[in-house]
Amino acid sequence: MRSVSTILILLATSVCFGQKPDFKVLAFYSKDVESDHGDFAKKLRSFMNELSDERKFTFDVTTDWTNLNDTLLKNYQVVVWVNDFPHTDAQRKSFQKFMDNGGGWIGFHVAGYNDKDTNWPWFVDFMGGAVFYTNNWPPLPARLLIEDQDHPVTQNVPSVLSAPTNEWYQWKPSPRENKNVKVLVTLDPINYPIGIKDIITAGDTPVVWTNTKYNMVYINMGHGEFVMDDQFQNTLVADALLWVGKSKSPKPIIAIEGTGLPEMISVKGGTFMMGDDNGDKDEKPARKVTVADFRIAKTETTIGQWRTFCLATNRRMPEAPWFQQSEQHPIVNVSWDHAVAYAKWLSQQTGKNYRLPTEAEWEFAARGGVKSKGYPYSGGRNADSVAWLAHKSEGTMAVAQKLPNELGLYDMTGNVWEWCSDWYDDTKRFYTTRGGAWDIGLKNNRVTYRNPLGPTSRNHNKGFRVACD
Amino acid sequence: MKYTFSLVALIFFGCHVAIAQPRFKVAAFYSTNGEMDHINFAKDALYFFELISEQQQFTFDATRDWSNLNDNYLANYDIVIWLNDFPKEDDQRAAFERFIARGGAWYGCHVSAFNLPDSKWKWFNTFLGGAYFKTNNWPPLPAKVIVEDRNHPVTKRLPASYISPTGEWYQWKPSPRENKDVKVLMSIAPESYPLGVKTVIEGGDTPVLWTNTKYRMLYMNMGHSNKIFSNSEQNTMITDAVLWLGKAKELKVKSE
Repeated sequence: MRSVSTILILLATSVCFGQKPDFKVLAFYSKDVESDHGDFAKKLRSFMNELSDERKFTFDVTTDWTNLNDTLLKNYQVVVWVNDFPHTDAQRKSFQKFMDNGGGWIGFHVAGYNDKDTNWPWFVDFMGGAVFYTNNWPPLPARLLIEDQDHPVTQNVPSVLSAPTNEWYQWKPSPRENKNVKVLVTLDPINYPIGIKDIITAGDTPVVWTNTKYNMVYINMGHGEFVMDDQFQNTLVADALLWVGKSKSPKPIIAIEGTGLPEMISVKGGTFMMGDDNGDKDEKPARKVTVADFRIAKTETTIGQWRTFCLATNRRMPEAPWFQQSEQHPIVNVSWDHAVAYAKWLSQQTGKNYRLPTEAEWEFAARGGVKSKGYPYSGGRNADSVAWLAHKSEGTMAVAQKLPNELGLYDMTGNVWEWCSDWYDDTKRFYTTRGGAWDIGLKNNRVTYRNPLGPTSRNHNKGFRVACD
Repeated sequence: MKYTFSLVALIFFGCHVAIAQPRFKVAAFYSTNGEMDHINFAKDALYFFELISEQQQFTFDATRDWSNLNDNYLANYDIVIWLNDFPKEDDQRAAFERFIARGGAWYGCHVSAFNLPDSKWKWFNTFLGGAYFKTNNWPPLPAKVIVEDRNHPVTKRLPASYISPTGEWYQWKPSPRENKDVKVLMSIAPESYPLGVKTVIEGGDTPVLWTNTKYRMLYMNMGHSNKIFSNSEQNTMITDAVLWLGKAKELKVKSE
């Protein structure tokens, strides 16, 4: 029996013959499970197959959990539990021995599940004491916070993740209470309450952690076909595996994509009066602010530019709004988190520091920088000559069709609201969008107007443009 | 007895199967050309109402085609829900008025009741109890709400007050409370004021759930975020609201 399954494993091996792999991974999954768990296994398998080619490791898969035995595990450095866990004592003992001898483990989602009926105290300790407590239902997307941006598992992702739809587990006790546990990613409390039928209302919900007594990472993602849809989350998954596998293979160099990069305008720094004493309360008082030299995109990020990002990162495009759009229309229905992820990706592609503009930079640029003529709308006194606003179009319009402002920047007023990098106020709950939009009245399109929104908020009239040091 | 009935139903039909004998029929109207928060609310509402329609044995249909607001279509239904929009055409409005006149029920959410003093559809304003939209908080926030009548069938299972999930809360002028036919069931708690960050509701009377007792209707201001169904107590109220409008008693549901 064992020899048959070994042959099958060899057939499933994805590293070319004749090349010594960096390390060897054996992934276990089950077929007779919740369909959402089966869907995830398929997606993870194809992701790992590609990754193993790039990063020179062996990735074998099996659905036969009796392969969790001492003899076979001798061939592997890392064991992955994709959507299940061992159910017999013999399998558990072999796994325990494997881990005690320094083996690597990645467990996804239900692989870490344990409750009062599990009867495997060693595993609870291995998980850092975490016992399953509750979950949300139905599965939902969530905002995740990266707790340590310098850890090898999380160093290549932005400080927040827009995690695709998943069933999130909460644990009691939380593994954080264990001093040997290092929590790497946690569910942002902003998500609470999360769920409809079953609701997680509050509490500490770590989603990725390592018990530093072992060479292991637990990853709570793994429920449904959408889990592998976010490139940054995938990067985390890949980096976790490479970390427990002690990979020596260098990160492949990504070819810099010339097309799709935003055209940047240099803005000479200076001092200006930010705000408006005649405006809303949050625009007052007008005050002296100095900004350093920076660069800012000539136009709002377009659908075409966003599509390049999506194609390069296997990311889904956001829902299209009801009005007609071309590739030259500004991307909409993207959150602050999405915009930040785009800037992070651009930075990784180019080696430059792309980011969102600060509010001060945005307003300085919208007013025309050191060339400012003091217009109430960016580029003019007559709003209609410089901006799409006040419902004069049926939707957003292709970028750069109206007159540019003093610096050569288009659509800083109107078309879509643009995300800025900093918090709206000291409560740190909202970021600021600027510049008004096509379906917003004149007053709220003034260059000083501020519109606060939560970081995951998305809408048909919200987009952004990038800045760069 | 009730319990036995649902158990028997479960044995016969299992989960996710058509209901043999619906107790009443609901048609929900919604739109996807609008604010994302309104679209997300509708999406969650479809999930929620489908779930409870199985448990509570009623038919739940949903349409984005507002031209279905006509006599023939409405003849099939006992309750009409407007999740995130309202009819714009005169013939749709007239068909809705006839539906209500012959005893049909309405459950309106959030923007579905948006109307201003210069809105043309005067009947609708009367139907709402005279409430015109006055202002709202911005950005959307959770708010503590008070349950004003805990004996009413819709609110009987709610606590005296609770934090209702993130929403854009409307204040009305006049407040529907000024209408003697209106029964206000819930309103914003005084300690929630000032409510808002950029645009603030400073105080005053802000009913968020009411019925105009001259009609079979209920208006619920909740409906602006993907968080509305994340409070199980409020979800119970929404279930009870549909049952009340459908003149049906709650069936005890065995949890899975």
